[in-house]
Amino acid sequence: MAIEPKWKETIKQGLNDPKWDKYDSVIKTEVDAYALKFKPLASKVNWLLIKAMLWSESGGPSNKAWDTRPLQIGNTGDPAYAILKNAEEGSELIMSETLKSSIASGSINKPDLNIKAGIAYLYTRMAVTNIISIRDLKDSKEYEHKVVAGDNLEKISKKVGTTISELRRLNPKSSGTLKIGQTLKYVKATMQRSIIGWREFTADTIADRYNGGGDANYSAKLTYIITEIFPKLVRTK
Amino acid sequence: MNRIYLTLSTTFILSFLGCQSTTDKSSSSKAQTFSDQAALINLVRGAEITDKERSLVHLSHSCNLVIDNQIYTVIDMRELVKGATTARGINQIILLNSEHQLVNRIEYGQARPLFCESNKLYLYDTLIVDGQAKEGNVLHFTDAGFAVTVTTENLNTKLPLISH
Repeated sequence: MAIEPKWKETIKQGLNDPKWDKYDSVIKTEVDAYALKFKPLASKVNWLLIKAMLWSESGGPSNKAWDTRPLQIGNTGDPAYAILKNAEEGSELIMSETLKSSIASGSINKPDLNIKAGIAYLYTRMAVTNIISIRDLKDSKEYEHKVVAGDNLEKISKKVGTTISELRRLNPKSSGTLKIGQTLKYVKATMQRSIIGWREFTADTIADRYNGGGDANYSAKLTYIITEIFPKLVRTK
Repeated sequence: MNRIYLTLSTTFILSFLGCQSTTDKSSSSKAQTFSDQAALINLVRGAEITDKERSLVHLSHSCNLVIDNQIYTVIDMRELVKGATTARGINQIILLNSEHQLVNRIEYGQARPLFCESNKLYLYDTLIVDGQAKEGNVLHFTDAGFAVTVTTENLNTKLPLISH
């Protein structure tokens, strides 16, 4: 599938307009910080990939998103913002305490914060994590949950603050199907992650993990920007 | 070359493959097929698997797995979220037990489910599953569908799937 000509014309506006470089320092600062934090990864992340994502996701300075959500974090239905706000799915291992606090309390529509959040989400999605169930040491009490219509182990675990592993451990005969009215035992527990590796930061993998396959041309767009546009930028010093 | 433009609206656009599932003849529960798109929508709605704030753009019954002699339904579900210039996708392989309760879900970008063979689900591309460092295009389900391991196979060696 070819990239739409209209999209290319929009992106080409960045060739001669330095306004399109507005967020370069924000991106570089974040990538440098993550390079220090996750040293083996340092040589693998090209900040221009993220700049290409920003151009592609926002559509440039003439688009409203440029000054609010340049990396499109916080759109209705998108899981990213909730994951970062709740420090879930490994994002708690990625974000600095400052960023966690800013995302929890600040407006995601501030462009710098949106970019930092987007980059944190990208790193979250690119990390390969190991997940284990950890019981709450402060609350070892055994509770009960009565199964209602629509319940499944995932839903119950989120509702009551436990994990599927714990539900299955304490209710071994209920590993199969749940019955309405059935009582399940549980203890408080959470899923905790550790980073065991990283996916390669390529256009294809970013399209897969950040864009989630939503745009069939996402990888091609990033590659186009990096190979056809960035080398030709005209900037007067 | 003709181009087909999809218009996304608040109503669902469904793509039903109507594929024939492969089943183990020794399984004790009946194989499940879905010939009614509405039934499939009701199924995922009832299990609260879809997100109301996203556009459901694809929903299909890929095939059935046989895990420990029990039948599990594999559903391919794709949702989109509107962006400034490009949509973001949330694609999931959904595994349901014989009571249509959610057992497992696995996100994917391009590695859409293709076909089942016993407890193995073959994918179009490779993916990495949480907790495992290696990529693969075959998902092996065990432990009532809750455990998944990943391997790689050359799809060409599996063909043809159905002998005529």
